[in-house]
Amino acid sequence: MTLGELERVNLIAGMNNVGKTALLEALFIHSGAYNPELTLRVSALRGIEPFHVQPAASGPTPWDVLFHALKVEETIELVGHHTLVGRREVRLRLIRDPAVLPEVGLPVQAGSRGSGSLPSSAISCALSLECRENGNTSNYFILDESDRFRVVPVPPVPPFPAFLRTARGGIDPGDAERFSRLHARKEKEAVIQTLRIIEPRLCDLAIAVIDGVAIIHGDIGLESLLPLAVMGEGMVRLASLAMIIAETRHGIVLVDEMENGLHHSILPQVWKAIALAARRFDAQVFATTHSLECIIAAHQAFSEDRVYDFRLHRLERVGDTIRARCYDQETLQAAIETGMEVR
Amino acid sequence: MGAAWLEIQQPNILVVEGKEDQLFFAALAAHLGAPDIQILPIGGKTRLRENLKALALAPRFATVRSLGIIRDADAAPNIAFQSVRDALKAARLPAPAAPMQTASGPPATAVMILPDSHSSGTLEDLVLRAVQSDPAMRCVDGYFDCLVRECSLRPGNTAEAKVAVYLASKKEAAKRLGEAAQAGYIPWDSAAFDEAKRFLTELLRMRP
Repeated sequence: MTLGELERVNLIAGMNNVGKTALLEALFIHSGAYNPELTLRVSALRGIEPFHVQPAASGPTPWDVLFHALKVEETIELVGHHTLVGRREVRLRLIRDPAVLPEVGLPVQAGSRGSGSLPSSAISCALSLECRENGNTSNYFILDESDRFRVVPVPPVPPFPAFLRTARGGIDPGDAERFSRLHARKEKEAVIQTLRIIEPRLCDLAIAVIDGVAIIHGDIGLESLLPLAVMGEGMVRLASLAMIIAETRHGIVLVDEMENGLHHSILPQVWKAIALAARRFDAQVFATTHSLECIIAAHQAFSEDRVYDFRLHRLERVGDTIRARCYDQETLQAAIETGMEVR
Repeated sequence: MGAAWLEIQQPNILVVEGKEDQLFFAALAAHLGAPDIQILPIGGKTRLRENLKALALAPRFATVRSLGIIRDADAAPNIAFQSVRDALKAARLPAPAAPMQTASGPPATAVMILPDSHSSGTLEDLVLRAVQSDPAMRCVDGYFDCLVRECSLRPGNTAEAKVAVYLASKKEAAKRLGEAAQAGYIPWDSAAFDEAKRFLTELLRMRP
């Protein structure tokens, strides 16, 4: 599948089970560049907690679900072009062959890349990640050591950050820390302004530690502050999104099911806030949606802006392949005016 | 924004200019016993290019075998045809070399310019040709002659005005052209419609 004509803000639409979330996950892993551990994180975000395979066992591995139609013998190839790093190719390959696994474990045994030694027989399976960029090829492995996962060699920090926000509601445990960092940088006002789209009475945000847990609270003019979660899922989600964009400077923000928790009437303002934040912090946004209102709201918001740096990409299954159809401003306007389906 | 969202439901798509044309050609397709044609009123002259691009990106467009476009010649049939060709190319769709010819797909495409591919005019001119032998037309022509003679009045669009007056002669007056076609007021057996019938029939036969 190829996704082209990307913009600063990209909205992904399409039928159920066409691969919208998988596309976000692929972008996330590709953005991580050298870190095969992200493969376990995306599974965990889908609710599939990593599990271990016993040595010599032939059952499923925690990485099987990454492979299309569970064809684990194939190689996953993710190729992207980035203004900062140019062309980057990431290849993922599952290794279960007992004849090959000892070679994967060798660097660990030699102590050159990992820490300590490990008998190769303790590695039940592994996932290899090959990254090619700027003419250089580097290889990393995540090893299932039956009781733990280990990445060898230790991957460097990728050139740009990426953050994946799942469709699930609830509070992201990292939000309080994100807010603290924003506060320290005197940038919390941007989040407050964004949240006023939902709650115009909001005049301040603060962290309160309750029973050892840091919780973001909002001041809406009552006698005491209210936890953000009490103000509704939309507040939590929008706050999280605003903070993630602010924290992902020059990076990529991935949001699954953008419209979750947000009333359709505020969606145009939400998109305007996202556009503003994405430009300010130089972040690129990829979001998925099932909602026509969300698509129309985005188009409306960006059409009213000075720059239309937005694209709608609709994924469609054609035979055995997934095709991406890209709508520019003119075409999306025509589709909306004529009532042509775009989801 | 439309109330109901258009979805591709048939393998053969006919794009026409507006709602009246949609009703008119739906009646003709029904007369031909051709239910497999989905008629979309998205071919308005000023928005054809953008609308075809949106159509080509629409869900299930990959299932479309044939795409026909019918539009009025207005003052210049060659310019009208060229504008449709340009719109097809902008939407990355195959463009036929001439009206009533087929371009291989997928989807296969064909264009018809009304009234007859080489004359100026509109759908209403085609209808007037079909009803020319109807006795009511003598009265219609007489009415417009009278307007010129007695009042020095000429309608802005003579063909449209004459069709409106002709339809006023029918049992249920005040129907617009599309509604009149649906009501059975159009003589489909007239030779004037042969080219349109051939176009729709070919549309069903076309394969990518």
